[in-house]
Amino acid sequence: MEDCWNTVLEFNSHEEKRVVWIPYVCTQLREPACGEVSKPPPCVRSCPCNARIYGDLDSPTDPAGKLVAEGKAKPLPYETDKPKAYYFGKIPGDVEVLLPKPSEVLPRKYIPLMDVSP
Amino acid sequence: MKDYETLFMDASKDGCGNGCGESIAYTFCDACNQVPYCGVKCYLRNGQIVRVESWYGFPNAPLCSKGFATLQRQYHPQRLGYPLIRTKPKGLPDPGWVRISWDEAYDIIVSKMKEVRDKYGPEAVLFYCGDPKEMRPAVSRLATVFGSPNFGTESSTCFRAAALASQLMFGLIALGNLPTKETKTVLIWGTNPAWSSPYNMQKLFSAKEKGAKFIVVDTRRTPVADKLADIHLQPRPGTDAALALGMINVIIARGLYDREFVENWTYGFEALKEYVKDFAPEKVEETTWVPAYKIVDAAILFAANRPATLMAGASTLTHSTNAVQTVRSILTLVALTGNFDVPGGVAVPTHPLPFRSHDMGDPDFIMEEKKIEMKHKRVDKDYFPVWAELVHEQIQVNLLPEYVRDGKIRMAILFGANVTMWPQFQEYQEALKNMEFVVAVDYFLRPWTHNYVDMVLPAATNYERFEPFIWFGRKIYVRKPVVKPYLEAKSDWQIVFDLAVRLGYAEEFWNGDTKAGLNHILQKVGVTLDEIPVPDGLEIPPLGQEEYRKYEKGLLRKDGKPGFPTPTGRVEIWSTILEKHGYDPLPVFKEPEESPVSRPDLARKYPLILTTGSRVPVYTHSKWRELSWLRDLMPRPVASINPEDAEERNIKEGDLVAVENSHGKIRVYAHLTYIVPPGVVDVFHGWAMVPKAHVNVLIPRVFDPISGFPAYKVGLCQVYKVG
Repeated sequence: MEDCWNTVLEFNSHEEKRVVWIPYVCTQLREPACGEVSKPPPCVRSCPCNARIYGDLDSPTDPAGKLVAEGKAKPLPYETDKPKAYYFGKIPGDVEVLLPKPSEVLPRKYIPLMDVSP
Repeated sequence: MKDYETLFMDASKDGCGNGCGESIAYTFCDACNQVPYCGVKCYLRNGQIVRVESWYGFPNAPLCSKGFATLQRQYHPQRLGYPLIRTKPKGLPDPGWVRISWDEAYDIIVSKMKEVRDKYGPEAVLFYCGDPKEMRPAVSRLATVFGSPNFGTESSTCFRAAALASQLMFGLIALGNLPTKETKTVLIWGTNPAWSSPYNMQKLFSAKEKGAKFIVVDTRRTPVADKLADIHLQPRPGTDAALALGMINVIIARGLYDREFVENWTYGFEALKEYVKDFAPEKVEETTWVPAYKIVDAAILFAANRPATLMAGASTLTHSTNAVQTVRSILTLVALTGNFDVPGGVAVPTHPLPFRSHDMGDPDFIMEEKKIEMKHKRVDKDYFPVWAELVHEQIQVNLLPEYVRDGKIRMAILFGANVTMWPQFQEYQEALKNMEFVVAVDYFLRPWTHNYVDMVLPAATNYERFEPFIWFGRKIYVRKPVVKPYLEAKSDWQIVFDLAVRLGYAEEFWNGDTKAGLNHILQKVGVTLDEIPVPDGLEIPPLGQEEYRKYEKGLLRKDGKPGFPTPTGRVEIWSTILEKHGYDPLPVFKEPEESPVSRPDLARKYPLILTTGSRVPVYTHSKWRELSWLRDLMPRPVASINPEDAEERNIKEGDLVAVENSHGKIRVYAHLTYIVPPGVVDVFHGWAMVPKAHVNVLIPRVFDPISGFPAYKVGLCQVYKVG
């Protein structure tokens, strides 16, 4: 199994006393790792909760671009000159400042099967 | 909502669409134990599956992480490939497994079965199905033909107690369903489909977008509570019945119940009215930790914003010492508010196929009539008389150590069994050890179970077998084997049919032809397996219109009279069956056997509430720790603890901690999360492969008196840093 180019990070917001889940995807760091640029990539297709949308962020008629144009989505940390990932929804302030650089969490390294006995 | 079917169904049968030489096949996933399953689309090259994806267009889609990982399981180097028999006596740490042929294996099993039958009677052989459910009909039929009513399953700790509660109330199994376009309120009680049935999430989000209101009852702030709930109630584990009774108190006090339904179709309302006087919201707040105003709000929303449906956890509510009554109290809410069998409410299908989904079978195929005739030989009849009276298809197996101790069970045939699923599982391992002969069928050698059996047989996976067929509503789907079985693995159904033929039941088992067996079941709907296309499936046309309020029209009872198929013909809030057997006839609340209220002495030493057995996105119970694709996502056993409780104990994320109570101690890693409220610790189960990490040593063998369900979710504990 190759290293994984998308992940969902789980944060504790101490301010709001709740857990926040934030998806990170390859485009925050590089061109689509799957190479699929013309159609919804596997990370979008396989999300059981339909939480990811793929589209043209600059086009207000695109379902994804519409959310950006309406100001409903905020950019997640990303590398310059790369396609972006936006997040739709409210990120608590104490989590926002904690969001890591994409290169710190992507790709998620594959951990070989090991003995984890305490 | 995206239309996945049109977006992603490939136009050509050619896997990549440009002549790459890949072919496509379809199967259903068996990674978790849902019925029916999710669809898997496989891409093959040179007879090998190279990748899998969701079978878009199949009713349950998309796949979850476990579904994808079945591909890693398929080609896992440690898969069991041959029948194995032990060469060293039971009790030694190494069984000394050696390979034998299928012929030898079958001969040994058959001779042991005959030996035990001749010495102790056929009922001394236990037939058991764990996970998945697919082999149940075949195994159950073999049990009946052999003459043993002692067929049991893992439903002894899962869905069956909730179903039993519904049978006591309504005379049939109705535990709620997904919202339809008519539904205005959805009550999700003790289930987190985001992790337990991800394929339902898009449907729930869609209902929310269309304006349905959501009440989520869950101690934890799960993704479902976080994303869907308009009102989130977080009861102390084990107090759900008090919460439901509190809501009933509000509904009755404010006159929000459906008077006509209550008057015409329920039994015991006056007694209930009297009983719930003790459950004023302020008092219920003390018991459940749920603020009184939220109880009132939820009750009003559920009763007034109709139709309302229910989605109740299959096993969460029943993993307490008040299991059946807890579910009955919630179903009472449904009945009082007139939400039973109305469009958008808790409906029962008018024209279901003549098969039963919870045991994947057909009452005639498993010969249920004969099972009822053999009732007096059931090992559970003296312990759990209500279960024995109403649950014809299976026994309650949770007292296996007692059944073996008393010499009632001498031999067992286990499919997909895991003994560490039981509380104090050491006693169950001992029980297996003490039987005269035990054979297990599995994908992998799992020492925590198999070190205590005599023989292990290799099972074919969902990519290698075609039995059984499955159905959604009136639509039947079949699969064909995608690849050849690994080494000598065989499908469970084939193993059962082979054994049956060797036992002399060729006639009852179609000379070992499993396909003929399935066609026999399908005769009822007038089709054969080969007539059902893959991947399209086949819709069996309904016999008539969908009807609601079937109790008014005489469609629920066998005698065709209006009413419910219960002894009184009404919804039995006051259960005459429970009354007959000496249990409390009302849906009462009882404190868990071990709680801060019932055992303040214990709670002083173990102040945190221990809840176990909940779902995670990557594992099904003890399964799939072998698969690094999944284990990578959850590599270690953890105790989830609220950051406030952790801080008090100077515990940081990832610290090695002990979770301890009066029954035992385990060592796991701390995971700090606001998913659990302060005062509650949630430990995921199934870590049999890691020493001293299996939480079931902390669960006592205390059972719900009606159903025999263990109290996995209502313990006490203390957590502290070690090492």
